[in-house]
Amino acid sequence: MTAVIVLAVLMALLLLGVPIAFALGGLGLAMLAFADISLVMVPQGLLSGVDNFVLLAVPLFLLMSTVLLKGGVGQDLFAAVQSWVGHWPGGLAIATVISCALFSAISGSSVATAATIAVVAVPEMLRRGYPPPFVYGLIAAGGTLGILIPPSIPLIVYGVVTEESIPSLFLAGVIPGLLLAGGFILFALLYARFSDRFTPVAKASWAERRRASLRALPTLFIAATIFAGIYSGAFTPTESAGVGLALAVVVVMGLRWIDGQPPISLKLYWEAAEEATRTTVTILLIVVCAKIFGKAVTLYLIPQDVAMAITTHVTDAGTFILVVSVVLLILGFFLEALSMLLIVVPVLFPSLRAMGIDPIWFGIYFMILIECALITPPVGLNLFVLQAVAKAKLGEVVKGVWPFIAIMLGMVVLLTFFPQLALFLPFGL
Amino acid sequence: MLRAGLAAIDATARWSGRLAVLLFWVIGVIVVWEVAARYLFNAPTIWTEETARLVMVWGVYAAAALVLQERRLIAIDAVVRWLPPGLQRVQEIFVLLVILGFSTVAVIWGIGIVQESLAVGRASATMLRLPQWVFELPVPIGFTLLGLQALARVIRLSLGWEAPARSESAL
Repeated sequence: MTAVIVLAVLMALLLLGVPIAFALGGLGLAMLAFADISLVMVPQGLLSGVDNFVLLAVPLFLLMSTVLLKGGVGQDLFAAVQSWVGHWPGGLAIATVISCALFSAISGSSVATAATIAVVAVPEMLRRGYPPPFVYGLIAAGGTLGILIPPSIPLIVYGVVTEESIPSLFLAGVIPGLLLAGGFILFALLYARFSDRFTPVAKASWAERRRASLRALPTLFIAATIFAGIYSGAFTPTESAGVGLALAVVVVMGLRWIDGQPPISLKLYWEAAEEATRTTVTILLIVVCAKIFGKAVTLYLIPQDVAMAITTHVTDAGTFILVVSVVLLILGFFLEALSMLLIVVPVLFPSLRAMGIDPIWFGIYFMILIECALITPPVGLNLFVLQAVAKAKLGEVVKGVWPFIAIMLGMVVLLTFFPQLALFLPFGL
Repeated sequence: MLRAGLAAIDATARWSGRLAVLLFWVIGVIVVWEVAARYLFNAPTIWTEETARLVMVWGVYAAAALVLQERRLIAIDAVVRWLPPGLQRVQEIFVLLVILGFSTVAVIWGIGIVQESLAVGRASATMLRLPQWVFELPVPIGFTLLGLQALARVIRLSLGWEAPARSESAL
């Protein structure tokens, strides 16, 4: 009963437009005060929530990707991929998905991925006659790969909340991420085959390909270094983010030098850090406030009650996953990614052990459902990104995302029947 | 007089935010230093981890007020955007009062833990033995700035100096 009241009040606060951080923090505070527990837990939570070496990866990965972005790497990646596959049927659409996947490997955020690729891909695809809803849907969905393919900020937060290994989570996301990208590409191919309204791009010459690929290569090298560093255990995720940042600075300096610009631009680094700082603070404020809320919820024994309710009504893991999926899809209409994660995971986590569900697998499963939440109306951050970047009507964007939501749900089913897709890389070798 | 006070609050948030931007680069340098020290110079450090954490705590709370000023806190506006402007003003004041209330608690109890750490001379349980209050101080300072920013906007909205605005958030 308490759980229902708490959830209802939380939803009411959120729908009243209270920022997610303060809806969680304020409600947590009120619950503590109501139970006569010392409010000293509030500043302690605010401190211990940020004072965490693993979370340092959040600003560092954000800084790395904003430096690369300001350095124009988004265009370079897209140009390079397009020079190879652009002339295929549906080639531009395929190039867009591959660019999203590659950019995901240097960015931990869906919104950043969608925004970056949208800027270059939307005008190009529209000029070639691709129907707008398809273009918007493709990029909104492609952008969500950002949180499945490592590095991933939501996976870092999941790891911190559940105290699971972040390197394992990162590795577990790789295969599902690539499969999902493959699914999007397959859909684009089929779409192109049954529609002939767009003009294909001329095949790029070998000289063009070489030039474009050489420009994109250093960025791919950064992604490979991060992945190899984490995979081999040479770097912690935080350290790999630091190394990635250092490499990003060097790469951007090199690219600027090649273009005949002054290699060091303090303006670029300042603007990149301004952007990264603001995003970090909005994210970490939610994380710390969720920590206070989590404390309060635990003191009211809500996770145990929920676990009890679940284990008495649901006996097998399959039904559990089905129920959780439906709940997450519904929540995803209204909540954005991080708040979904921070509200639901602490409450459900105790039930996982009872159900014999692997927490790493659950993290990846959760990410895919969060990806759906990012593109399901009325609240889906990636929809808003496309709306803003492409100056499109929300209705048009929404019309285009449904096939991709279907593909993502297919991936959830696949992952449920073949958990090895996620667990093979971290544990299977 | 009142306008000058409100402008001063805004300016403090902006400067504090700029400090945070610098601090986030400092974090980058510290972490890179750690990796370089371990792999290139074969001399792992004892100060980098804790210092980087400390800098992040200061950085996050130094920029909190700026993020509120720029309306970048992530909020759900699917419902409130349909409210008539008059109600939107009331709604925004309500939101800011929630933030102000939370900040007040964070400041009062935050000062409490700083005082306690100073009184008993508490230090971090690491090799550096930094005094604990150095970590705790940014919470009351940051939420003072945040609370003042919320208060400034409540005043402006109530006096009609500022139109209610939708949040611009990105993640």
